[in-house]
Amino acid sequence: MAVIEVNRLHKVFRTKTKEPGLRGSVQALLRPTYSELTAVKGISFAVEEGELLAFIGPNGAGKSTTIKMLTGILNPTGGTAKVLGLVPWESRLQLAYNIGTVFGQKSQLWYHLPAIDSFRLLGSIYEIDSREYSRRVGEVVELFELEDFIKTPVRKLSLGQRMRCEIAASILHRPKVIFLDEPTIGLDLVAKLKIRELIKRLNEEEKTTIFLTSHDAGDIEQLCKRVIVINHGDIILDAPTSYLRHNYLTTKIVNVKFSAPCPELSLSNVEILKHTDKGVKFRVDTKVKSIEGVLTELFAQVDTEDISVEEPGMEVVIRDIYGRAAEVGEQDAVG
Amino acid sequence: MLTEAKRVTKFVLQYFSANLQSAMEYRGAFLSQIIFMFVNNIMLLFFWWVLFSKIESLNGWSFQHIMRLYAIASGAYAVKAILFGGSFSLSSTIAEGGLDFYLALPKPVLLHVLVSRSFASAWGDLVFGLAIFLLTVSPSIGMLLAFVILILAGGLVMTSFAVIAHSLSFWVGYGARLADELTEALLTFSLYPEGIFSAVTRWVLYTLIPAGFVSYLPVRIMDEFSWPYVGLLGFFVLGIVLVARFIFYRGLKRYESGNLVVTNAAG
Repeated sequence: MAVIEVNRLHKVFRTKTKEPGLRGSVQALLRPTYSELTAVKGISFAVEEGELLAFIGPNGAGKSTTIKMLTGILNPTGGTAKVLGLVPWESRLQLAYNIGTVFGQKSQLWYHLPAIDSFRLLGSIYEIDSREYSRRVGEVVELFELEDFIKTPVRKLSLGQRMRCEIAASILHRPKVIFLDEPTIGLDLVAKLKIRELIKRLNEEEKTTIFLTSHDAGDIEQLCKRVIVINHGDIILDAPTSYLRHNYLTTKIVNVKFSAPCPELSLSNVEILKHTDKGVKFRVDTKVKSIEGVLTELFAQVDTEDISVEEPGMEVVIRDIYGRAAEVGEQDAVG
Repeated sequence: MLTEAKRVTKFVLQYFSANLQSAMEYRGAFLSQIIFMFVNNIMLLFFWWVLFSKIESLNGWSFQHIMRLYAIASGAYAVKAILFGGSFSLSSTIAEGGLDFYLALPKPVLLHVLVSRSFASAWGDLVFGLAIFLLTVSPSIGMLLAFVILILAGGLVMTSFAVIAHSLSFWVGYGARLADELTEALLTFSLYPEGIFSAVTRWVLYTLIPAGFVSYLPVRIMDEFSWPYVGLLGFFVLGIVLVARFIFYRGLKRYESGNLVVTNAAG
């Protein structure tokens, strides 16, 4: 069952334009002119119950605008959307009881108070009755391992601990869908791994649908089974994460260690990156030539001791997608 | 209706408690702010005392009237700053996209923004107001109740006025400066006796800048109690609360459309 259904969702902002210089400022003051900026261009997608989805794109791509429309904060210019069967901008209050949000720019936690005090306040905002509240706090403290610092003022917590409390705070009311905006931003590697593990547990144990935006390729690779890439307000890719890794960027790096020195080597359709007596490193585009083909050719010429094939990291994949989208954008602009 | 009122009161009190706890985390700063504000108010009143040691009355206003004026205006300001502190920075909350946070939560947006902040220094105003008030009356439970009701009324007028002034940001962009000037004007006029102003100014002070309903009318009610005055005050408070609410939610529609002057369209 789809918990989020988006159909040709469209958002146009009207912005004031101004010519450069003082004259432009005076003109804009007396006779303002406006231009329209399409932030989201009729996007459509659906998210199934229990899915853990990455919604990514460069800055200004339309991510936040889409999330704001899905949470009822912004009204769209056109198109429809339903979250848990409700039209967000028509039933914002009702929807708010069933969704959770963690926005990077505004913490839900009181800086000078322990997280448990913020939890109590949120419990009252969501009108959770006292018995259910105690039970739920017990659950989230255990799930997010908050025991040791739940009573420490938030200002004294590390960024990682704070983010754990932040996400815990957003699930107190048992939301069915949670929107996480950059949950690992600014965290060190250990803290990032912890947050990822907890998000995964939240998704698996509570069956919460997670809509995640992130610039961190690791978040997407380790957490999400599906990725939607948005750029210039358009969805440019909606595919399983594995598809992205295996099919989108097809170049692989092969490292070979020879058993005996081999100064001469001839391989067709590969790009040799480094060749010494002891080994060779080359790049293969699997669309042009299969790995098996290259290795057969290699084995015919040399005995090998070790071979490793490096997949490009998700970071490279994403950079490549953005790069291609930018090229298309430029071509459109020229055309 | 009654359950709703109970829920709203509980919500306001819970925020009040969290704000108070938060302020008390820094005991030294909390207490010094209160004391400083108290002393500051005493100094202001001292100048009036000097003036009234030279003259008997000022267009019908005695020093006792001035004391009550200060007591009620300070108390009303304290209600606004302690319970509805979010009203002070509403413009920037609007212009900087801060309403997103409140829109994502299941509580009335305006009330939620207003109760989200509290100023510890205003406890100094409250203590000062109460102390000065009790000096001008024979202390009793009834008088205490009268004080609470009058400062709540004045506090609601001040808060609503601030909401109206700051809501201009929905239309003009960064309206913080203008809103600050307007709310400051209301406070200043609330601290001067009505008697010194001309008829036209007085008309303004009972309409556009409603200092009359923050302090002049309450002082008159203390002086010569009459139900019509109480009715007029109640009617005005209700009216300005509804007008402020209407204007804010009208503006919120622009916010939800994303077409504010300051909207960051990209992203």
